[in-house]
Amino acid sequence: MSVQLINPGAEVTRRGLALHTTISAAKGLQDVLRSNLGPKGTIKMLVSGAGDIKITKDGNVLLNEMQIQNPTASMIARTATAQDDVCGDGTTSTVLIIGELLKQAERYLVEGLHPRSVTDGFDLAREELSRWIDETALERKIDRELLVEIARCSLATKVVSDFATVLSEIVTDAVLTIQREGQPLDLHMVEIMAMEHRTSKESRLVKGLVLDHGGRHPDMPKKVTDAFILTCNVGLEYEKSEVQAGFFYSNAEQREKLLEAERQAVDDKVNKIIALKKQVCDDSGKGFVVMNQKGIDPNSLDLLAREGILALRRAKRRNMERLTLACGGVAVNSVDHLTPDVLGFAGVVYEQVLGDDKFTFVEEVENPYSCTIMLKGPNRHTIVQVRDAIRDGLRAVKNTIEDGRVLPGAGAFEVSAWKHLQEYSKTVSGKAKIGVLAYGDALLVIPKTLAQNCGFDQQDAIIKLQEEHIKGNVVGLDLASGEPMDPVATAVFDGYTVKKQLIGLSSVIATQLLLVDEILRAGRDVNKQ
Amino acid sequence: MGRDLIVVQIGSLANFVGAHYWNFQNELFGSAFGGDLSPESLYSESLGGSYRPRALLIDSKGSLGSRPQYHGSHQHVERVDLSWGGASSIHVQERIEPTEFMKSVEEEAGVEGTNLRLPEGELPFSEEFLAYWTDYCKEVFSDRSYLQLDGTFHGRPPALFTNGQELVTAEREDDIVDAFRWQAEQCDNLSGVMTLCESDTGYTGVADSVLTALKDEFPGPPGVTFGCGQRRRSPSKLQSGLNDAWLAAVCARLDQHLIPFSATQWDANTFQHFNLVDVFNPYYSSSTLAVGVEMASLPLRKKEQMSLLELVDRLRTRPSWKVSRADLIFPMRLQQDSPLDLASPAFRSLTPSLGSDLSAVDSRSYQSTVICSRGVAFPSNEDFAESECSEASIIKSSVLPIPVPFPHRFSAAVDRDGNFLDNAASALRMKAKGKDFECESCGVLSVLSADAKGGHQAASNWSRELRMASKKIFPSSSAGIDHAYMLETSELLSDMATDFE
Ligand SMILES: Nc1ncnc2c1ncn2[C@@H]1O[C@H](COP(=O)(O)OP(=O)(O)OP(=O)(O)O)[C@@H](O)[C@H]1O
Ligand SMILES: [Mg+2]
Repeated sequence: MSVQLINPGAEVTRRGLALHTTISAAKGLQDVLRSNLGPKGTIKMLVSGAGDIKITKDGNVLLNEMQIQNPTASMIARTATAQDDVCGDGTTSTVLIIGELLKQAERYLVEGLHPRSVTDGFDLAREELSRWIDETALERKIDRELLVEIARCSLATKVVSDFATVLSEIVTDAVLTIQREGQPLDLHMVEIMAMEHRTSKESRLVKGLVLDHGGRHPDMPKKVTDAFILTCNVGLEYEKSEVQAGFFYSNAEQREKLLEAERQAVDDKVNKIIALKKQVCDDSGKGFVVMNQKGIDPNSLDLLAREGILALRRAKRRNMERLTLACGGVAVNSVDHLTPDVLGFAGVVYEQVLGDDKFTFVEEVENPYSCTIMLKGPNRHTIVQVRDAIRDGLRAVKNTIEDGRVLPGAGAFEVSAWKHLQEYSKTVSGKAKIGVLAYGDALLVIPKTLAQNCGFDQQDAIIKLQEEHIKGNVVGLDLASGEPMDPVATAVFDGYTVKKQLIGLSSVIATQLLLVDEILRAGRDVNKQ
Repeated sequence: MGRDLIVVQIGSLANFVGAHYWNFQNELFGSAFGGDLSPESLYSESLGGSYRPRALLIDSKGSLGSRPQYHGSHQHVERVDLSWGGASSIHVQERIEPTEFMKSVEEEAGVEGTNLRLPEGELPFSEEFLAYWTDYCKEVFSDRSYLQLDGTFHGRPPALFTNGQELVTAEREDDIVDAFRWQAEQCDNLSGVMTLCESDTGYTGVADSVLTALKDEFPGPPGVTFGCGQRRRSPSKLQSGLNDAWLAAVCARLDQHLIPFSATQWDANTFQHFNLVDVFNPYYSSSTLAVGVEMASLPLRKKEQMSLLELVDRLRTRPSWKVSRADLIFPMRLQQDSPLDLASPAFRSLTPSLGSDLSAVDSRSYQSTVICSRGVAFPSNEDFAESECSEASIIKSSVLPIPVPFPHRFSAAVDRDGNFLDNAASALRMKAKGKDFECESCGVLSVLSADAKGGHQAASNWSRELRMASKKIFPSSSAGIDHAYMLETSELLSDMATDFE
């Protein structure tokens, strides 16, 4: 840092300059993402140097594709990513609001106001809103109907609206399927399985599991009905580690013997599984499926195939958990003392081959506390786009269930927050008041941008909304007409956590950016001591 | 017997090395030269009948250059159906053209067993800096092999291992473990994992997260990790030293056997026949490192093979000696007039952090030495048995061609049989003008060995790096790494140094 070399007079301009660069970087990022916002935003197709296509409207996805070098911009981008990590939504809004907070601040800074005064106001506004948001949130009965609406609202900002309608039911049912009394929702229990297939878009919810592999033996059954399922984590291949110390065999015969013994050990394990199969299936016509987390070598596969057992190896660890949740039974780590009560059950287990890939479906399960969203798309980029959208939809449904409340969408929340801050500012004395008001104005960027993205005049739209709010009507923007509308009646909702998180994150980061210069100087002062 | 290997490549240079390595394999696959090797150890057959390397390629965004991430996914931009009610915009990056070499590879693809022949005297591509490994890699990987990390871009690796660790988010870790599992599922008998890792950048932090996750998910025999360091024009010595040390610590902690390849200290004389070659160009340094990987993994790929566990066991004189050195004579005359000599001054070290001189290695550690020769004929095989290194494992393999596109400047220095021309240096300088044959084969001799002195020295250095950094860079908690953890890790390496004494 060359700060020491600069005379005090120059330092003031330097501060101005540093802030100016910071603010223009934030504006730059805002400009890039602005057109994304809302269901009428611009979808972007990115074509890489190699011709790979990516289609997205998601703020976070877009930020990840951008080579951001500017430190301010990358700080903002990281904040948006943090927003995504926590609630899976609101990244575009985050970037817009941070940019707008800095823009508002700039207005006052050029008039000579110290950044501290502005940020003090931001802090007050943030605290006030965090409190007030609980007051304004809508307590609604969280039923399937509401959840589907929430999901559709989220999905319609990512995929075309007809398709969003189809997907909204799927994601809602997926979350409801895995919901268990008294337990937190674990979205890992919803697998999204993508399959590339020419025959256009098709997605459905499988109440059960889909695995991306199948039996590894030509004679294994392709379809098993009334299937007992053994979920295990047992090595059914030579485990070299068992003879770790002993590979310096003194002679070939000894080596042979050792190998023989090893083979025998593996065969014994397989035979124990076969014995259990015989015990439970007998001649009842029921089937038997082995899902193993470890490997199964060709010899063992052969033994199992001869008994008509379908065996899958190297199943995902998480699938082992899902399997026992869906089919019942317990995952075993050893095949010693196997009893029938460790087994799960599925009505049908079958294989499907799609091009180079094989899938195994486990369906008609007892208690599908785990499910799979099966997603077929004609090409890679469609699949990726839809998968991202589904993820967002799942998160939206989960958030709503956990929050137990929602916020009015379509800009309604932001305008009423603006109105509230206008009132609140009257209780604030001193220069901080300016910061509070600036905060309120910054929030209006959301309805303004929504209007702009539909081709309406921003000012017109915002004035109409403000007037209604002053009359006491909580309205949002009707994107078809540009007129105020009732978001509750039209079912446009925003997530409570999303907005709460957004308000916290964006003001903290805006404050940091505004004070970055002070921090630098403080750092220098510390160094001086 | 465990014979199936999975190769994990982490970071840009690792993928440059990997590209050469897979070119070697690609050349051998199905060719008569592959005689005593078994390619199945590295390849899986898909349902559709194509063979794909069992590899995970972890790298920055944009590192695939002109290669699409999804095989056969090419779509005409104009014809893409956006299915979106509202406005759309298209952002097209400047097209990255494949090299002439890659174009000719594509043209010839599908013609079984064709050896690539380039027009007389033509270089496969201009010898300027090649920006991407995809500019010369013939091998086609499965779509699921490519893993690109958000938050990095090609040419801008994470600076420090802490930055690398941050790149592997929980979601990314899931993806990586799943991609590995998908490869493992295709193995009839998984022998273990061979890792190539860029060691002088923050990619060592990526390796930390990745290898830890894999170990957790697939506890198994120890694997082998090859460090890959490169000479850079603007090195940050402090950072690269720290990253190197971190990789060593990761390997020690996870019981990975480390062979710390590095070209960071190479000068024009290190591999003398490359004396005109640009040491800063990753294409060249990676090609030599790839020969090192190729030779070190030879025992694992022989038909009568060693399993990975056997190799590691063999290399470790004591269980705690988790680092080996590697030395090469390359290229080597195919016909040798004298018996194998481990004191030969022709050996060059690929692992300079363990010292440069192979003859300094204590002969008592010969029992944990693995010598691999490829194509080289010694006057009599008995010489091996009678020589001082009779206790060493000796792996010999038949003559193999110089894989195309091996650096062509190099091939100017050898004759048709891979023997060095007496005027090698001047031939190189003249760039093989008027040479009317193609070199078909060349010999290599490689030695992997335990080195008490070098190991001690390296481990003490690594330990010191981390100790100093814990004072300077990590005085308090930051980025998940705290002072205490750094000290603890430094301690781990210092214990390793003590064990080597
Ligand atoms: N049908 C609708 N009518 C009006 N406004 C809507 C409608 N659906 C959504 N919105 C508004 O669009 C905004 C959300 O847009 P969008 O999802 O594109 O951005 P985001 O959530 O900020 O970021 P992300 O890219 O992470 O999803 C919210 O303010 C929401 O109220
Ligand atoms: Mg959204």
